[in-house]
Amino acid sequence: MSDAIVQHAPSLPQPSASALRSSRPAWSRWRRHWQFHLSVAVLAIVIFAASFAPWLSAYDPNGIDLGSALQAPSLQHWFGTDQLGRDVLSRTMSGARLSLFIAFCAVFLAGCGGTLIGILSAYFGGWIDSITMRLADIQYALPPVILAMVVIGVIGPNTANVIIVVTIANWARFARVIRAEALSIKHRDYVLLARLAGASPLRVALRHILPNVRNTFLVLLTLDIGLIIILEAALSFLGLGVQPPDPSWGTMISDGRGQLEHAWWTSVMPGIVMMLTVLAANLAGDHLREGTRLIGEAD
Amino acid sequence: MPAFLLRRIGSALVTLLLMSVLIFVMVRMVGDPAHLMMPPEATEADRALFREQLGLNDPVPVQYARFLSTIVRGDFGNSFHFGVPALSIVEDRLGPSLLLTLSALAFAIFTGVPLGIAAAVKKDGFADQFSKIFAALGQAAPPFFFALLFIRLFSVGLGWLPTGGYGSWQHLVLPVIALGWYSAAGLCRLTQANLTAVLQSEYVKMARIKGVPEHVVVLKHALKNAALPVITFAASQFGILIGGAVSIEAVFSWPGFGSLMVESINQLDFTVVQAAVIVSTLLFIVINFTVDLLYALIDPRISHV
Amino acid sequence: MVFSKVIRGLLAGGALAASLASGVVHATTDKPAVDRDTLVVGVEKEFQNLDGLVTISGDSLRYGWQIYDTLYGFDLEGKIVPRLATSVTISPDSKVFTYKLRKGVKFHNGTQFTSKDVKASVEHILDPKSKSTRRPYFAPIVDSIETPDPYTVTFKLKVPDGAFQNKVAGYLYILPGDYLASLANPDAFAQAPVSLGPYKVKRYAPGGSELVLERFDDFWGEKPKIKTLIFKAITEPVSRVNAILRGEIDVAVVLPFPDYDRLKKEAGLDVISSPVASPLYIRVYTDDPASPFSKREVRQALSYAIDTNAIIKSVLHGVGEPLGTFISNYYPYGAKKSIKAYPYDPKKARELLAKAGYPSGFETTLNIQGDLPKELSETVAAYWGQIGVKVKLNRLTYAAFQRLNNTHASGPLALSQFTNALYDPIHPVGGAFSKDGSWSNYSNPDVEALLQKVNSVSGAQQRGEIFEQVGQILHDDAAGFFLSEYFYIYAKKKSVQWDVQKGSGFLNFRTAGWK
Repeated sequence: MSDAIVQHAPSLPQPSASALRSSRPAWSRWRRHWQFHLSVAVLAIVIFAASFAPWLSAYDPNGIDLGSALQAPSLQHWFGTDQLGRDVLSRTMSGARLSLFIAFCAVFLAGCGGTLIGILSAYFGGWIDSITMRLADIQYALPPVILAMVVIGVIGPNTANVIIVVTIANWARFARVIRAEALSIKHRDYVLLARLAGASPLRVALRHILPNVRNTFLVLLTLDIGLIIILEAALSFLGLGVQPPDPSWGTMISDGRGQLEHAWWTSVMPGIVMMLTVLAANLAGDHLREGTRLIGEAD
Repeated sequence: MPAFLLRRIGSALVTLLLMSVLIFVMVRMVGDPAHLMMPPEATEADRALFREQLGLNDPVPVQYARFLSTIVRGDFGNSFHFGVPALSIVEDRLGPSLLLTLSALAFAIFTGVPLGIAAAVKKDGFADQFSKIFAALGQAAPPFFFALLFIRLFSVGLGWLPTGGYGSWQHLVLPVIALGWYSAAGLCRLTQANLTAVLQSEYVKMARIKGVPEHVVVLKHALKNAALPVITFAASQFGILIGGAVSIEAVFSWPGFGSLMVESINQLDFTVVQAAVIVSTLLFIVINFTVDLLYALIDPRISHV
Repeated sequence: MVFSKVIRGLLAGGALAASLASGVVHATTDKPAVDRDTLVVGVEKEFQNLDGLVTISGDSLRYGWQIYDTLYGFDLEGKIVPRLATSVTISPDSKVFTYKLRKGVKFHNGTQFTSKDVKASVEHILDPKSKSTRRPYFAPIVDSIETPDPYTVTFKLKVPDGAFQNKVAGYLYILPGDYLASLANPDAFAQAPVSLGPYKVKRYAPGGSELVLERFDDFWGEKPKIKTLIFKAITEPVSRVNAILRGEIDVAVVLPFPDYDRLKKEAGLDVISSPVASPLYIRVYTDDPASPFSKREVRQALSYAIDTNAIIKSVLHGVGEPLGTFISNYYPYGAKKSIKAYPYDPKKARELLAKAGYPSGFETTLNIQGDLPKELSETVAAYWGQIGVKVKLNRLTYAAFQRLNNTHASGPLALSQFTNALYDPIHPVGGAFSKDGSWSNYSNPDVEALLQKVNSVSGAQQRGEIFEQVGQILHDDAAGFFLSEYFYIYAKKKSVQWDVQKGSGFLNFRTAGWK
């Protein structure tokens, strides 16, 4: 399932320092930027709705009511009902819960794992570095769909496995970027001093290199969360992700695709919510990246 | 130069080898084709006989050794289901995949770059606003969602274009846009950001002071500098798009690489999965190498290989 | 600014979609997709291997009756009628079958059909090198084949098989012996198949996405009206529906249930729902004494707990019929139509459950595979949840599901269907409810006795009587949970003259034409 979107985050270049005035006015302009605030608000709403879905939804997301199947959005069912009479809004919130949970776990695991690998790879260099980079190549080249099918074939289909698959399909991005940063940090004075002083490699990695890649790490996290949400949706769309009857955005879009003509809300509603979430995450990530760069230069 | 070339080829071979082992083992972990292909009435003896014919009764390392010895001759074995050489099946699907990928890339370049330029040149103008929405939507929506909506609106609803399949240029339109929008979005933002930065640089300010006309400034000086990241980004997208826009191929019934991989692994057609993944990895390596080469050629200051 | 534009854009898009959704009127064109000598058929899966004796039956049943022919065949209702053979003599113990062959039949390559071709075809099946998936049907029963003269062939069986005629009709496509022998290896046959059906292979697109057949003018039987048959594989169900709506194809097979009502409203289309004589059922493992399912009361309770009528109406969109037992009512014999499905009675279900010792229910797992509508399992799980039986759904790929079924590891519950290939209930019943059945974890001495008896009996009448008794036992014992008859939905342009084969998934275009 290696769609373009899931393997490569378009990294915007960093313009030179002189290109942007790195002074207080830019920083405060950034802070007042309403887009960032709106994105964060949207994310907060979605996360809130997802976390408290069981208490917020008026209906049981798995509550089958064959008599009220495929009803258009109305006051009783804001997002309408699906082919088994289940309330689409409740299912979307429940789906948000699962999709976001998977995405957060995966991005965190991939991020931490990738970062650690990147730092160690940069630090040790040599054949460790070569092998790691070859493994990263493999991760890029291996289609997530194949990986998903193998994992399902071996350990069976359940939510934990989706997290595993999405994690394995995404660590290399972190590893590569962090490695590049770590490589440049490696040669800075304080690191060399620490090594001369006899610090163990692990200590050097954790105390000196890690804190300095933290900003990049955080920015990557927010930029990637959108991609990972979409990857999970794509896998679920193909039936390789979340299993029935638990809803996830991807499975809902897939289930509804036979009904697009006469009951479009079953697919389109979760799709729109997903798009808004990813949009908000992307915008927030972009602004965070701008902000950290501006902060860095304002120092 | 030759040293770097040798090193690259060496690492490429290592990657290919690692991948071949990985996929060889992984695919055998998914299931047993004998169970799938033989009818329920088959006994275990029948299935064992079937496996024997497919060469699956030997221990995995033996099978792998046999596999390695044949692929150097270009023989990836016969497909379990189709009975023809697995490589030929992969080759047949490569054409449509390449067509889709190249078209999507072309769409991305010819939509994203001009939009990015227009947005950079006139900040807060119409192009700038439009490009922001274009880019935001493109990076937020999953391609399969776009695909479903496009079919619903343009194919079933308005009847302008076919619903799927492969054959004429009309079949290409919707899949290309659904697939390429994401890359177009990225290119648009990249071009805009780069061009904006360059347009504010000292170098360009000097040119303006010297009285060079604006359009020359933009086209000659600024674009040249913005070109490099755009080229590398575009080239990097290629490698990914070819890998398998699986959900697009599924929705549009496009006979491509991605859906081949899904189908063949669903059917436990080991030989085809192996051939498909190895060929795709090879393509990946070639693309990456070309990108790095392009990079080194265009900007000789960078000597990172 | 960006956001408001985005919201406005989305709302506009949504409004456009909504207006299109409500206002679209289709008038499917009634004209042929190509011309009046050609028929374009949209199928649901690619064609894999054109060797009808080697490939899996799901593949061959689409092209089998077009390219190949058999000694005896099935008519539109599934009755066995002569084809390449003109008569058959069956020994009283059902162990010797002697066929008299038709004279003057030609293969696609011009050679004459004789008894040695029948022998060569069976040998092709039995040869391990050909990797035939039909081998398990013939290897255990065929002892020898004799060809005393060019137009007589005698099968001697190791064990009595009353359904051998059905196997000959359903599985034994005839290939030319000399041609087979001339090939370097058995795999090569699929590249250039030669047989004696009404159509020959003109073009096979790589990957099986398209198969073009051309009329064979020297066909021994009634020549088909259609000169060129084009099969297009459109795997995405929505695309297949759209293709027939837009007139890109003339016939569409295996369409999704949710589209049934919508398609019926189309002016230019005939929509046919045809039973494939396959029960949609939940197989239950009854052989574990510790499991609640070993108790008949539990099984009966769960049968009362499902409202099959509601399920058929909503999940299957009305395309189904209640089933009381495992033998489909659409078999030409063997089905006792008076056996009715268990009525929906949750109160009685709870009583029975309590009586069996499970007053507060229990937990269990239901294995399902991707090809069957998953809403089916979700609904059943919901019904059983109401009486306290908590069901965890375990969705598997088809491959994994097959493997678990074959190795008797798919318990305790598995949603399945058993396709009809033989028009005789022995295939599903023997497979799913006999003690040694490959997909059976059920055993009942009464059923075993009857199945023993039916093996040595030939003839529709006698076999039918025995199977009716079997059906009654399976119902009373609640041996499985029978949800519905399985139907396939077909759609064709109104001007296409085509009769759907009843009671199986075989595609038959021999008599198709344009009105």
